[in-house]
Amino acid sequence: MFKLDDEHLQLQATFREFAENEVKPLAKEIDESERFPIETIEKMAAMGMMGLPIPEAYGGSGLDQMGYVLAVEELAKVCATTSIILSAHTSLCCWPILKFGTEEQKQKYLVPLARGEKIGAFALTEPAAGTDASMQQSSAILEGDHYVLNGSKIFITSAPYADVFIVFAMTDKEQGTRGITAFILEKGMPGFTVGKPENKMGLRASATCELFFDNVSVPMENRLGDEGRGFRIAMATLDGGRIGVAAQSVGIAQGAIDETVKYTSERIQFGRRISQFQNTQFTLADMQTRTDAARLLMWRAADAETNNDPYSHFAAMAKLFSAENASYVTNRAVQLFGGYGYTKEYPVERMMRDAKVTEIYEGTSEVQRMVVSGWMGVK
Amino acid sequence: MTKEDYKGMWVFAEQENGVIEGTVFELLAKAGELKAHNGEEVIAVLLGSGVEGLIPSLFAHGAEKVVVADHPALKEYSARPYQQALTQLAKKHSPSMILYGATPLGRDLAPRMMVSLETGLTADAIDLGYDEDGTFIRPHRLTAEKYSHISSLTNADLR
Amino acid sequence: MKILVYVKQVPDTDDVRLDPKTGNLLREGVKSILNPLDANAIEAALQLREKHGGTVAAVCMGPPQAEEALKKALGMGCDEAYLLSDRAFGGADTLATSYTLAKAAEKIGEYDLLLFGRHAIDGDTAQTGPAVAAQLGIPQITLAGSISVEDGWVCCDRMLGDMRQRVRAKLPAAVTVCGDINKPRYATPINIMKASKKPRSTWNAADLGCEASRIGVPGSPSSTKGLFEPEKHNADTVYFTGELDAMIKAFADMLQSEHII
Repeated sequence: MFKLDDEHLQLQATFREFAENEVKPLAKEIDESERFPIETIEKMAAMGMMGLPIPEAYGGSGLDQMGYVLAVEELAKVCATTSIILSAHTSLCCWPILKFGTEEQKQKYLVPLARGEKIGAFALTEPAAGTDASMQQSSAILEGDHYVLNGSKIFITSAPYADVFIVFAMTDKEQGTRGITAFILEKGMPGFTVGKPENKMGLRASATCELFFDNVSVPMENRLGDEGRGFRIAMATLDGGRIGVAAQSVGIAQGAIDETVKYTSERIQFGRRISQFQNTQFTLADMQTRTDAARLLMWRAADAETNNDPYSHFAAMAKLFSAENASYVTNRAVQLFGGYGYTKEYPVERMMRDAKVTEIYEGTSEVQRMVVSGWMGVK
Repeated sequence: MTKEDYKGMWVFAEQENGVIEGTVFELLAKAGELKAHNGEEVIAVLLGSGVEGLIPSLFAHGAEKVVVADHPALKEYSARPYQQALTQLAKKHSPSMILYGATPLGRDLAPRMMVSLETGLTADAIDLGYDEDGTFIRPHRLTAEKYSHISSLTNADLR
Repeated sequence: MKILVYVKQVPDTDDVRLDPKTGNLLREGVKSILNPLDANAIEAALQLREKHGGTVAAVCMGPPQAEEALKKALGMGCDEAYLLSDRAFGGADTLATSYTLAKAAEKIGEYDLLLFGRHAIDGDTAQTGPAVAAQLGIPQITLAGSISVEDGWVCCDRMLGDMRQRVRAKLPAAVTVCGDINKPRYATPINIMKASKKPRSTWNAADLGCEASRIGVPGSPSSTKGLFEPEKHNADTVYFTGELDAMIKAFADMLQSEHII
């Protein structure tokens, strides 16, 4: 568990090669132009990367969670945006269909998603329902053999490019969280529209948009799980998503460290390489130690998920620690770069901007603290 | 046969459609320089079909002798017929070395000759000469044009 | 179709330096990679298998660590892997190497096509492919920029500078490929996981039935005397600017003053 075995080392090597050759060259440009890297999706699909932990029987690559998080980290080292596109698609859309879907739903949606023929999205957050996810305003009224969906969602990753959406809505307002139901929506369903992308601080190419539902007719067979089970599906899904975000955060931190080691070994001030100064060495040592700690927390959570052990609290610890670490590491990285690090000539300013949201999405750090203290039994 | 029985510096006179490859003349000149050290004859070996017309220019550029294999099967280059013909000639006349231009054809043929004559082969030699201790050395390009690789032979039949 | 792809594990040459004391290549801590042109050869083999069916075997002569190159080959999609490893193979030049590689082909048997990367980035001789073909007495095509198989013949376009030459050879044959021929695929997760179940063999000199006098140092007529870095020459670059006619005149004047013309 502390060392990767031979197969995982080979997996890591191929993900690293792919990230270096196919993803890294685009990272700066897509951040500046906010362009969704659709060509990378196609390449990842060809590699079998769009369904890494999904069983081969459903079009995936059948890896364990460790194999999956290795890919998320390697991508995040060079481009946090590409990493979250993959992670949201896999953890937040493929996974709930695999776990809670009917066989028909798996054949119809999971197989093309895992093959990368379709892109997936997850829509829980609403203008009035962020951390307080139970405040769902979107409603789904049963009318005969279909539901009529009305409402909106906000901050949905990959929305303009996604084909399949996991959408949560209230089927019974009286029941509170037990009145929330999950649905599978397809792009193009009449009344279902996507707003324009948010202009964000970081992850600028990930195309984060609002969704609008205007009397969208959702067939019965598109309901995911039973009525009233939606909230539990959402929470269970986010547990796994948190491990993905933890992996992304570790990758952002490690990528920043690698760039900083390289830069400081070249930059000369006061007649010496700045890597020769103890301040540089000590700061980098701290950055790496904390990133290693984050990685091990993340691996533990992934391992627990693979073994079907309870992992919700492990995932929360991993996400909490890794996200705050990513902000810390990228901030220190820019500092060690000095003035040049503040410019777009080097990638660390982008990494710092990208890092911040990991403390916020898929459950803020505050939510993670609630999960951990709850698990600890502190009341 | 001992090392001393192999005599004669052969230059493979690559030709295509009746035109001799440029590097052949450079090699003949180089062999002429080496003659000062080893006293061996500079010999051009020419393979083809209907190529007698090329012989005079080989003499003009420094060949003291020309060995010719003229046969319809050799009209156009193909690895195995050329290998067969040249091997027969080399086994008959025992040259001490055969020099090929590092052209696509030279690089196609020379390794096959190395196998049939069971000798060493240095690719892409950028110079030819003799070391202080009399070893025949051929510096050549090694990795990414950063290094040169000097080789020496331990066998009788030099190349 | 039965295709054998010969691969080599080489140092990642951007990292390589000379030890100033011994004059040898410093290999400590230098990453080893699959020779890039061999990845092109594997890709060509896999594409042919996709079209014509059959199997692709990767063959590598090297120390036990060379297994890594074979793992990558299996991860890309090769069906089987053979490692030729023996202390006695050490120090082999191209002649001895080609003998050993040819013995492996004979032992595997019934091959239709042998593929090689045109050259290895750590030795750069481009001799191995043709030498193995000669050992086996089969035809060869070098510098292939494209490859296809039809009715028992392999057809290639050879990359000859500005020109292309179309040739074909009767199978079984050997082909060495250039980097332009294709873009090698990545090892995919599914293939990496499957690789551990694919047949892998390690053969030594006795397994291959090699004669001791033809392998390793005894079988190598050529050897390295030393390595040196070539002298760097400082060249002054003179730039000519301005109107075309004036530039030509200035250039000609300069050549004349340097007694070049």
